[in-house]
Amino acid sequence: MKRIVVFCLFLFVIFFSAYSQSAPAEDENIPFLVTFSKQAETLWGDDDFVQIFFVLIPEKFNKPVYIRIFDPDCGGDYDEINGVFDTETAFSVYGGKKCWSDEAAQSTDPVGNFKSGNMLASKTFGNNPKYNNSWYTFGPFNPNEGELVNKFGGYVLKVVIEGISGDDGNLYRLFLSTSSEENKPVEGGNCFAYEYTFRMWDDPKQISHIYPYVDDRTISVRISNFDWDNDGFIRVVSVARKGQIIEASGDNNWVTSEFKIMAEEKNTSLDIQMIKNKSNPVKNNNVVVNVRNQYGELLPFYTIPIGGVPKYKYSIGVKQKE
Amino acid sequence: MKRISAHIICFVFGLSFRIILIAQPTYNLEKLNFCDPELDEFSPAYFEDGIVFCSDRKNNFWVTYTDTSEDSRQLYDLYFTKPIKEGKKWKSPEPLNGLNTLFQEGPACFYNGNNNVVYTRNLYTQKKFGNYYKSGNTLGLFFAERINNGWTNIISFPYNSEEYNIMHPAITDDGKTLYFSSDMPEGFGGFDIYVSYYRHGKWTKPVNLGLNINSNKDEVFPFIHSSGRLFFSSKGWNSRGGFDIFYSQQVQGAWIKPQNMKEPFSSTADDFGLIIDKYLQSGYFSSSRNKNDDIFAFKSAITEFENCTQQKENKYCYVFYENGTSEGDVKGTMKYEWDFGDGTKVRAVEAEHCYEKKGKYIVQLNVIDSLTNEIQLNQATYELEVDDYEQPYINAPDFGIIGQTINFDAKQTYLKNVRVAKYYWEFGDGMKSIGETVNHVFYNEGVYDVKLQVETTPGRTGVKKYCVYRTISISNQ
Repeated sequence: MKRIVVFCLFLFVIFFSAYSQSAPAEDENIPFLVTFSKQAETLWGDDDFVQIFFVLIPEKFNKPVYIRIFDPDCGGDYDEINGVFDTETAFSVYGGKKCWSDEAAQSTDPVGNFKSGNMLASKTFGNNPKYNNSWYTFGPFNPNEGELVNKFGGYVLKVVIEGISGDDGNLYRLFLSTSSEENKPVEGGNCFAYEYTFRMWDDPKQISHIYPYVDDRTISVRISNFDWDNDGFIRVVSVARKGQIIEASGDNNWVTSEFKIMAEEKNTSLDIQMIKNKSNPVKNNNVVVNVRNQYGELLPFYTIPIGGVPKYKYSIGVKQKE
Repeated sequence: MKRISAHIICFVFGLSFRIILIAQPTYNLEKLNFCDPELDEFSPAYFEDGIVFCSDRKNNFWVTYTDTSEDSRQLYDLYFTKPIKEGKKWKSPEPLNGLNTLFQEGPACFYNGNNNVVYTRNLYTQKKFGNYYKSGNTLGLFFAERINNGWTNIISFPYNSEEYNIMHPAITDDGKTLYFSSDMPEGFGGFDIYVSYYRHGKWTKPVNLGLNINSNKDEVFPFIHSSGRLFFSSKGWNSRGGFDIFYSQQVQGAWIKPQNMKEPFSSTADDFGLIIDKYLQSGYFSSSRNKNDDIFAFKSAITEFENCTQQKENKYCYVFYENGTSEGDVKGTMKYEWDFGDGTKVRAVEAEHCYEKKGKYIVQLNVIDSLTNEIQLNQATYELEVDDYEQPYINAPDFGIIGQTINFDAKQTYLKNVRVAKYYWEFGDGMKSIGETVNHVFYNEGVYDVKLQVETTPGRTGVKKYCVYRTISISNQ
């Protein structure tokens, strides 16, 4: 058993240190995270107008860290306008006890004490050209300002993005960095969320991915998606699954697909692939995804998938024809 | 050939042959231990749990009749003996009471569940015929019935004659078909084999078996097997010397050319009086290869054919599939392109391909994502060694004709890392043979499972056996 633990930790280090910690990350090929404000319609693709992301800093990392936001304002080049840009979005960083471990923080719905822990920083952004196509940096934070979570082997900070007012969609990206001026990865760091609200590419050739981690307690999973607008296929690939199509939602509705986890898939990530329709693809499509296990517990999406990007390993079987 | 001469009035024969017994692996021979080196024992017949045979051993303390040969040998009587100690030893032979006279008896043939016998005997057994060479006391056939363990109701075969000899009976167990040897007139030379049928309470007039059986030399000691195969001895048919043992069988009502039983049955000495069991696996025969006539037991040296599987044809055809296809994987999103390594490609989930020849081929799997149209090249490879099936291999035609020689060979036997030492054949008609290449003739129409079992040279794990069978259809045209 020890060997397995050591192996898993090793994978953590290898894969977390190989990439910068961003959300979305390179392997996900997702253009932006998105959060609409409260006056928006859910049929535009955000079911609850709140996004919660966690950043993970290894326990032994003792240098200051920064959380950098790309294009935090709502206006300008990337964001989704409804009428006029009149939206304010609050970005808040939480640390301390319960910032992760509070049950409400790991929920899909922003109810209860989802802003648990100590607020370390917060800033609300409106339509401000200064932050259009530009960066805002939170921090520095001492890693131990986060909540120490032994099962992650590090400190966790929580970023809550909440649409305060207006009806526009704020598109942005997050980075965990050791620098306030540029994106320098924290060695061994990662980002994860329990529900992912993001913008799809308009280009039908682009395939986006998210990577829920399947632990060894998982027997089956239920993958739910919201407001897919029937824009193509959702396919699950893993080390043991070469491509299972699951149901994609229509406009402003949730659908759920359930399937059993194979033994080889435990302690690995699934690759949920989002493949757009080749003809008449939906533009500005915003979607929400979450994954639960058989107990109803949410599985985390790591932006840097644990164990690496899962890839089905094909093997050829041969039998002599009688 | 003393039986003949003894039975042909003069009983004069002293010639003997010395021959070194050449071991032939198909059958193991063993001289029966009761055979006396100075006396003759020959022409066994199955009776109860033993055999009845002819011998010139002395069985009458008071009266001794001898033949006219220089050594004045005893006349032949019938004796019974049976094996003890798993056939390694035999009980001391006892005269077969009730049939023996002061004159010549034997050979015999029992039928009807051993309750009846037909046997050879001098026509007259009164003392006045003590001069047995007297004209008219020829050999004939006699029938007897077994009642209360005694032989009685001795009846003469209606075609016995003082003009010629009738001897060496071989009768079917139902008692209705009788083969024998005779020098009756209008034969083809010497003794010929005849047949007579018991119909409507009478024996039909003997019919010569014809030129397919009878040569211009002597044909004697017939034995009819339950399969219809006729065994007999002949000095003709290019025998190796003296009498050799032959067999023949009727095909479409005609006897086929006699087949020499060869070694270890036929030698340069006289070999005769063969009887064989229902399965053609064991039996007895007589031979003068050790000077005097002795009886030899024989048993097939071929081991049991074990775990025979149907022979697979080497077609070099394979089915290729992706190992991990699960129920959950949607069909149709991933297409496979199989590159078989011989210049051919096929797109299919599961592909079948036949190679033209043996060899090593690198099989590659390209995956085509039908949702994205992405082609993922060389997602898996497989080094395929196309080879013959590891099995003994029977090379023979699928069809054959009754009476025609079919060649069987095992040259395409392919077994990795072993050396084949022996090839054993079983033809499905009770016959067996040994050798990498063998010939066989089928005499009946039908479908036969021909088996080939090979044995390896002894290795660390001993001798290994591999067995296959293939089906051959034999028809009459």
